[in-house]
Amino acid sequence: MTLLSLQDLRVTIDTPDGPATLLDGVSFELAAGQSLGVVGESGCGKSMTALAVMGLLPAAARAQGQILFEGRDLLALDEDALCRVRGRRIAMVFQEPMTALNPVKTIGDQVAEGLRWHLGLGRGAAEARALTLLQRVGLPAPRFSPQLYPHQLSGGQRQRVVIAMALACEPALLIADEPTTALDVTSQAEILDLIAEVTAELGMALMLITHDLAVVWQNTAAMLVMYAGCVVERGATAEVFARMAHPYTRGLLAASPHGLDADLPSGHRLATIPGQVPDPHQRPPGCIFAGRCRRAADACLPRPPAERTLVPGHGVACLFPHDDEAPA
Amino acid sequence: MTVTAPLLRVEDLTLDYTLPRRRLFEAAPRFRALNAVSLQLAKGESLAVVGESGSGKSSLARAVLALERPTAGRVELLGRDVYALALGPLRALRRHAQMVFQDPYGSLDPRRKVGWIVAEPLDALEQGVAGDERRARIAEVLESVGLKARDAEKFPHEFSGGQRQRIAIARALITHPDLIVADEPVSALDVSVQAQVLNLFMDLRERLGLSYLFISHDLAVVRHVAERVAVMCQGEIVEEGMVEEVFRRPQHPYTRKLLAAVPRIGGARRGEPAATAAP
Repeated sequence: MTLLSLQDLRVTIDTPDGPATLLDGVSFELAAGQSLGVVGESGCGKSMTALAVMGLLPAAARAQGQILFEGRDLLALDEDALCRVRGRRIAMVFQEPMTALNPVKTIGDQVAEGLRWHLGLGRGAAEARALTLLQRVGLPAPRFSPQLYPHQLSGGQRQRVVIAMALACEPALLIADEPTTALDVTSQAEILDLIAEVTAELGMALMLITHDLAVVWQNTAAMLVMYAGCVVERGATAEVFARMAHPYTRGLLAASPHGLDADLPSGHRLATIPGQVPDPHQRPPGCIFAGRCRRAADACLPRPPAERTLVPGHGVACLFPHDDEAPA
Repeated sequence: MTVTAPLLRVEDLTLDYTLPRRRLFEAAPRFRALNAVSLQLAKGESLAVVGESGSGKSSLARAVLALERPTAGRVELLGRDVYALALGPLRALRRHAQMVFQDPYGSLDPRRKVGWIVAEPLDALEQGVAGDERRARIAEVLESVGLKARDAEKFPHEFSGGQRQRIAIARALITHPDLIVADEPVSALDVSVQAQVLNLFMDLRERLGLSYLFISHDLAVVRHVAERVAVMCQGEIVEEGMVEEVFRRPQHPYTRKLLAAVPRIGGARRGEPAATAAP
């Protein structure tokens, strides 16, 4: 069953230099209980997609298209109706746990807040449930009292609190926006384990946003590759990694220090993608990646390439996709 | 082995931080950030120090540049004990060792032009470099990191994260140092920008004969810039060796744990069979 369906989502934002296009026709579907990785670099629109789903776009932004969630178009809802979805049916885990938490409230109160607000639980019931939730995310009392404040915890422990808050109302969709980027590798592994466990346990769908291809490979069943506000490649994760049909996807892989063969000698130069992301005020009429693409030809310039299906479930928006096996 | 003195020698370095006092009449508790750490770095060599948050790797970086006063032990830079030096000679020695910090947003003064930022170590450590010579030095380092001489007239906010980190590297290069201490210099950057900055570190090393003390939590990153690696855990070096050797045959359980935590494309995956994402 389809839980979330984006149809041709366009987001523009008014700036002093004129309107800038942040998302240019993003469409995808996510079924209940499934996991979707969204990968791309800063400014590719992956966080903007998440904010649009949460109804948290900046005030100057305008969105067109549809965001269907549990059959309703979120873009058509008013703020009151959105508040009943946010935190209740869709929850979000942000990159930086210190800024996501309120420094002057105890972690117990912060986990209980959603329970009291959305579920109408009384103080005692909410506190008791918060205790269970903190224990579930690996912060058991009495060692981690709900009376602790965020500054008394490490980065990984704070992210566990944020996850406990996200789980509180058992939402249908969890959006995790770079949840481990601020953490070191061992905490990253623990937090990703925890997210996988709790989403499986509660049957939640997961949208995992990251710039790290290895994290997508390890944690998601399906994936989107985004570049400059467009989805350039999508499909089942194993399928996309087997083909890596879009030149940008291959560029990301070649630049990734985690993508290389363990036997390469040290001091090996990493491949880079030449050039820069196009200015969102002046997007080229054709393929958005053509200016940085080694395979680009004249045919790429007049209009954006339509997405084509390579095999069922694997699409790529490129006229000249790679058709050999991926180098990994 | 070489007969000449190493560029950097750290001997039994121990560093305690004093924590806030818990009771009025009780001695303040102390936290041992570094416990008898020893290492050596020859000229032109690169050593990576890896470990988790709190393992002491940043404390080590700061102690090496005499930004912290250790509880015990020695740090010798170019054969001279940095903690035994008076302020003047220490300043002179600091020309030879510079630092690149993690956050290219926090480490550049937003109200200063790039030229001023890059020349700051020069102005502080090499008095008397002014006018055309100073301008030439600024242009030289900006160009060596892939920026343009006229970028000196711009402000940091006009640059992307990767370009800002290039500015920070240019600032470290301006005194023509022998050693650069880089504390997580690419962990705040995007993958493809990270690759560009790592390649720059490698190019500069070949061109200028630099040595690096490269601090990182990511073992996969350090493989590209260092030939030796020291693994730190709770203030101690638990394993040290050639990067490839440590990668292939990690000896200490902590190193194995660190290596296992790095997600690898083609490695183990979580979750069920794939679902379709096509609309």
